[in-house]
Amino acid sequence: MSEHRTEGTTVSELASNRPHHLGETFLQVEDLKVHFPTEDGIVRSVDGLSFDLAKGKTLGIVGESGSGKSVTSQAIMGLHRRTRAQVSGQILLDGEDLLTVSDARLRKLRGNDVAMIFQDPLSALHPYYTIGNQIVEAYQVHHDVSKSVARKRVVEMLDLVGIPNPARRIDQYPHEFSGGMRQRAMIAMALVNDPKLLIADEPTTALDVTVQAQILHLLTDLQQEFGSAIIIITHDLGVVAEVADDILVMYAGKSVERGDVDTVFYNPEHPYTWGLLSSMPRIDRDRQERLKPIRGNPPSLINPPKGCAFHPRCDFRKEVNDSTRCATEVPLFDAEQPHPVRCHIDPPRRREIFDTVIQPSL
Amino acid sequence: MFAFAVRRSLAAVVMLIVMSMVTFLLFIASATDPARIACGKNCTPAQIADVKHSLGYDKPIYAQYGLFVEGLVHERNFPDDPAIEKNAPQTIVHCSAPCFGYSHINTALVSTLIAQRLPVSVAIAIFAFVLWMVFGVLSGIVAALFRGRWPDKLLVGLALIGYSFPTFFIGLVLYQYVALKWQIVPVPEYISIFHDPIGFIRGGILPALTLAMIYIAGYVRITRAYMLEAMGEDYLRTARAKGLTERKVIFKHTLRAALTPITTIAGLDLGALLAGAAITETVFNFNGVGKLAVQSAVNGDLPVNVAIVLIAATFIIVANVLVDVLYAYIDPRVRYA
Amino acid sequence: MADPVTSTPNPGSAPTADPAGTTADGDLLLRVRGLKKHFPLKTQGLIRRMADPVKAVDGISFDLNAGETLGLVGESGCGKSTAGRTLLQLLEPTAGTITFEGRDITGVHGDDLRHLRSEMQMVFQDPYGSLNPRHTIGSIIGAPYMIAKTKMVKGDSIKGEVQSLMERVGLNPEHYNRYPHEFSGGQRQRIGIARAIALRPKLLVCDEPVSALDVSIQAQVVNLLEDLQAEYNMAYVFVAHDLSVVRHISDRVAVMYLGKIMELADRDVLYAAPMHPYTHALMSAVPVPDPRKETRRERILLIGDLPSPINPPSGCVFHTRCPKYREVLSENDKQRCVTEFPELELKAAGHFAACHFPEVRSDIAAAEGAGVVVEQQIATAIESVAVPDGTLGL
Repeated sequence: MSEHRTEGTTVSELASNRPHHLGETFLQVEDLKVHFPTEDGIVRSVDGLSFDLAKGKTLGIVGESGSGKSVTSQAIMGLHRRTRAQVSGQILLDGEDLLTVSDARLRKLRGNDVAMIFQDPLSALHPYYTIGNQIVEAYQVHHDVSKSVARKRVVEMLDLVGIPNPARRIDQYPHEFSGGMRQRAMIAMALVNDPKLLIADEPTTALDVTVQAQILHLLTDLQQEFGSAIIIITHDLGVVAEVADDILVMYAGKSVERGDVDTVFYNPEHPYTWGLLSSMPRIDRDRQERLKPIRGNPPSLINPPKGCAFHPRCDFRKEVNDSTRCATEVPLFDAEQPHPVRCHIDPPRRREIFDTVIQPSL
Repeated sequence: MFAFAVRRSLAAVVMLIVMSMVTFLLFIASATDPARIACGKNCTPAQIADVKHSLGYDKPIYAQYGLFVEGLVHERNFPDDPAIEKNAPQTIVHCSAPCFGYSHINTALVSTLIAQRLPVSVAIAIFAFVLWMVFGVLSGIVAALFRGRWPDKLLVGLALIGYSFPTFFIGLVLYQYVALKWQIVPVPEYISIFHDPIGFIRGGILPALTLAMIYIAGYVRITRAYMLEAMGEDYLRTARAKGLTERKVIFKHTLRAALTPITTIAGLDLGALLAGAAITETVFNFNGVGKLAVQSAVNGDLPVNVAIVLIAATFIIVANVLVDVLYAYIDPRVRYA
Repeated sequence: MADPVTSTPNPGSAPTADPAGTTADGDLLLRVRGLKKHFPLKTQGLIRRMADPVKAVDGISFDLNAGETLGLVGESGCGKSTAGRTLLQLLEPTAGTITFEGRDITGVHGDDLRHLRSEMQMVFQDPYGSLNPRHTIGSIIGAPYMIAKTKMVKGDSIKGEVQSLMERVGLNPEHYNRYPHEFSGGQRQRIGIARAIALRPKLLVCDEPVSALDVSIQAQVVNLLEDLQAEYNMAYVFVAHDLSVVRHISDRVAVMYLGKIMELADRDVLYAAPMHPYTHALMSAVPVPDPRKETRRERILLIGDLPSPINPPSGCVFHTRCPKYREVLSENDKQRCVTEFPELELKAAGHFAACHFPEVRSDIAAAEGAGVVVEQQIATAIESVAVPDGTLGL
């Protein structure tokens, strides 16, 4: 991991002396709601979400557009403050509630303890300032150092994330970088303050597969060195399979299934998760005769379906003893369980359906 | 960058030459005989022919244009006749470069007329420019920061009112009330800023404000729109996510993006105003190029008309070049292609 | 190599020979030979001359049979979308020929072009940007009938036609008078498809038709495209960056890199045993939704960024990023990669590759059998790659 560097620094030196506390929960989200009032009604983007994350672990949040996954990440960053969004619940970072801390305290945490990588690095970087200027700024917010010290640090970071000629490229503008290099620069900016939690919102969606592979590889490498916890938000099940320890599947602002990566991929129990897995064409398997899409369209977030939000698109409602419940009663999601699933079908029956119907046709 | 500036300037020079030809066509396209107007009301055909000859209007068009250009870049005599020059040199009017011609109606060289009036117009235009940039842009920023709340509604509402009143009305109201009735400022008059800066401001505030009003109104809306656009950009989310203070997010990251396009619009607007503001100058009786333009149009003083059009075009073309070069300088994404 | 259909491997072929292969059976619909699309650029100096152009598409050749789907894959900037547009004469080709049903259609214009448009159509990526927001979907889907004038029918029968078309693509015909913004992304893509197939074209170029859609909706649209193809016997050129979708929908697949086709083969052959190191790397980079496979999977990380299409590398354009070039080849062999341009040649039955040293099936099998992991350290993977400084139009 260090052969490429010319300056002689190594990742572990840069990673400072922060001890790794693997397995210790330090992000805890409780009943998070983010609602946006609009002319047409209240958009319930996130509607009662709970999860937690341990240090050094990676949580993949999977969902389609409108599932609330990106809104969740912005809530953790406190980016809904001063907007019309109505946010409630708790987001505890090391026991501190990010929703109620003062603005000043939040600014101290942002970028320093929690950092974020955005989907489209071109629009997420300011077009009028050099890459160096922007990362130096991020470092100086949280470190009382001179510009030249900060600059030295930034050159090291750019080098660390694999940007060639960092001393020269630090003075270039974002449009002079390629897509992959820009995302590396974003990662350098996010990691420059050595954050404990890194949120990556669709970090590779705008990139080509070969570059995506580089970036994912970089993220996992850096995580091993820095011991940060990572939340990776994506619609791509392939990406979470590659990097995540735990997976949270979201649908219409709610969590529908959560478990470790093996559980969610090999023993999924929610019909929506089944649908996602079945509808993907696979590069690693022989071609299926036909893809198996989830029928219908994504739900409205203003008037979500009553009961289980997925029930209008669900093929397994008849498996519920009293199938009217799907349309009337929101299934429970016990976040304390190791593998909670928001579905009315009896758990043994769910496992049976997966083993006999879904698994064979994947 | 340098090559871009040079190339852009060369294009502007070509543009100016074309402009000079087009404006020169005013002489020909004009419905009236320029010599007849220059001569006066009760001229005999012989007198008209005389004037025609002395002004060179009897020559073919290309030759007239040649003389016109020669006058612009070198010098010219009226009448351009070696015989008269020899016999009666005192009757010859010498016109050195840039010579725009001779105005019989004013019995003066056009360049002299313009030289007297241009400083008035330029001074008022720049004064107005400062006013509209300060008040228009600031109000636009405030309106955007308070989007949807009362300061926004108030400023946008005022802007709409400012926009809807015609300039002469605003000018007359200001003149009547602020200067005459309430006597908050003295009766407007032009005093050179180099001579008496305070007097310039006191004497020029009303015309400058009148001129600036419609621009203030426009700039509130433009600035507000660019601010809102910039405030929706993803890179502001990045800036907040870094932990920057809201002040830094606004003043460093948002303003830079929002004001860059405004710079260019402002440059063009100023360029267009430098050659005189006809209504404002007429209302306040300022002897600027704008008022001269109105007078010469009414009197059919063609040489003056041509000169003013040419000067106005020059200001606009030069402003365009400067704005292009400036924009390439302040926006790193612009390649000089 | 006179006949591309029956040609045999011939390493010494002249650069003009173009084997872009088809299966021996089936009706040839489209034949593309040496197609180039270069975008001119000007120099930056005081006096501006024509500089080297952007070689977006640089000599591609292939055949397409009626009812067949050719996948065109590659990374952004490889020229696949430009190729698709040039095929339809939406862009004027710089060089090469396009033969459609035996007729040379390169550079047709006017009425001929309009007539051609009823035979070949396009489905665009962006279902938001490609539909006029001020037109009802009835008029959007009905427009081809009015323009082509091939079916001179009265207003209400156009409406009937459009409504049956809407029903066919899974839209509610009662929504005839609605506007595009009232539809979801997937439905808009159905509108785009209905518009494209209104005149029953024989060829449909689909430019990333599902990449803006959610996974569950993607599958709906892919299935729709397959059904329509079966029903109307349309041929598809399916341009996409998603190798999984391309694998699903294509009969044959062409892999593009820097404006050139690197490999062209039947889908199953290509995915099972790619010959070109680039194809191999591209496929190995796709993350698969299977965590156990993911951890022990062979992965080739390509180094650096795509070179500039203005100054592509000499010889084989891929050699600057080629893992095989870097790690396996001898100096002599490397020399060949740097100096000699590899033509797209038939290397096995129905399998074309543009590589001097293609992978052989047994190598791959052996490597996989032994569990070799060819994973490059990302650290060593980055080389200084000149990025074209905004010259592509910013």
